[in-house]
Amino acid sequence: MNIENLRAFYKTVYYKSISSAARELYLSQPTISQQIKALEKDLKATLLKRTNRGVFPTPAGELVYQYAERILNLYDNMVKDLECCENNCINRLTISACPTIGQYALPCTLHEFKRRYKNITVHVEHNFTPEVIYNVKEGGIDIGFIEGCYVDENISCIPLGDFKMHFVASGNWEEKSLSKNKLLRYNFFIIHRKCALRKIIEETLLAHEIDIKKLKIEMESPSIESIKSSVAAGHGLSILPYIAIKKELYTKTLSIVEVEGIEFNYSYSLIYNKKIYKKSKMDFIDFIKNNGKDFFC
Amino acid sequence: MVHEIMCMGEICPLPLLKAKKKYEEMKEGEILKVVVDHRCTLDNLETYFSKLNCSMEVKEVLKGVWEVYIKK
Repeated sequence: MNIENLRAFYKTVYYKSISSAARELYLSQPTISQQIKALEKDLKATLLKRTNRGVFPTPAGELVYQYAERILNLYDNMVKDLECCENNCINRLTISACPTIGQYALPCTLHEFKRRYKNITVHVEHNFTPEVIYNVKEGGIDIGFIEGCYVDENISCIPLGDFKMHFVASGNWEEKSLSKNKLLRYNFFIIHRKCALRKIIEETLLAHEIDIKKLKIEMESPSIESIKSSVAAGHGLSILPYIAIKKELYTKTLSIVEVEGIEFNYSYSLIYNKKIYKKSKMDFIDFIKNNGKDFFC
Repeated sequence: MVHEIMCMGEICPLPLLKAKKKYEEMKEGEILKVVVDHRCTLDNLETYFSKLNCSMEVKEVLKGVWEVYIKK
């Protein structure tokens, strides 16, 4: 099987259109069609239904599409690592980090790491925890930072310590402590359910007999920055990680509100695929094990 | 006179560069206040300014937020 044929098929299904796939791959439409036909021949299966509303995968095509994503990710990462290897820079490192780590704790760590290990190219992307786990398991990403912990037969996990979230309000909010019942009166701006922190919030509230569904949720957002602006403007309350609100606490645009001693505790960890050995990856893991906590703020 | 630089959320080496520049412009006896929220930034400032002829004081005003006072 030719991997470029698989890519042509993958892009076609992704865009549901041969012409869009052709445009992205800088190829002509007939070429894409031929590549897909060759792939169908190799795999001995019909993969695409061609209709006048566009192209759709058959059940077999759907299956191939799922695998193609992983195969192409792994393949592309292998090619890039290989390029690095040939150019004598063995230090390419790919990181997938959950948003809070990626935005607030990682930049410093990376700076210090790059200062100590020269010639390193680090690629960072921000994803939610389940995607980070997927990227490390299947996508050939070297390092993942997640909320909580994850272990299986291929993945190792290094805990990075305990962190806290707090109820927050705007800086000039007057009631610095609230009773549980009063929470129901105010609007809430809550981290989106795709984010693993949301689960921790829900579980902690439930342990204190508060059902999150009873809160007046004004907005759910995956962006902590937008939640912060809404809360700072005095529109309501939120529950946010301390590392994300330090600046606002200092400048007094946000303040912490105590609610009957409720504490939101959670942890971060670093995960990696222990079956794949790469020097830059091992260097980074050693660096985090030895100094990580000092650079995590 | 106190010169203040706010470096919250800024990553190395930016805070140190800003602090160096401001420090050079300052007259003797003046104070530079730098607010930082990363431990490595704090370490960088301490390493750099401890070599100069100045006095330095660090206050952790919130958990993970430091005010650094440097007197020239």
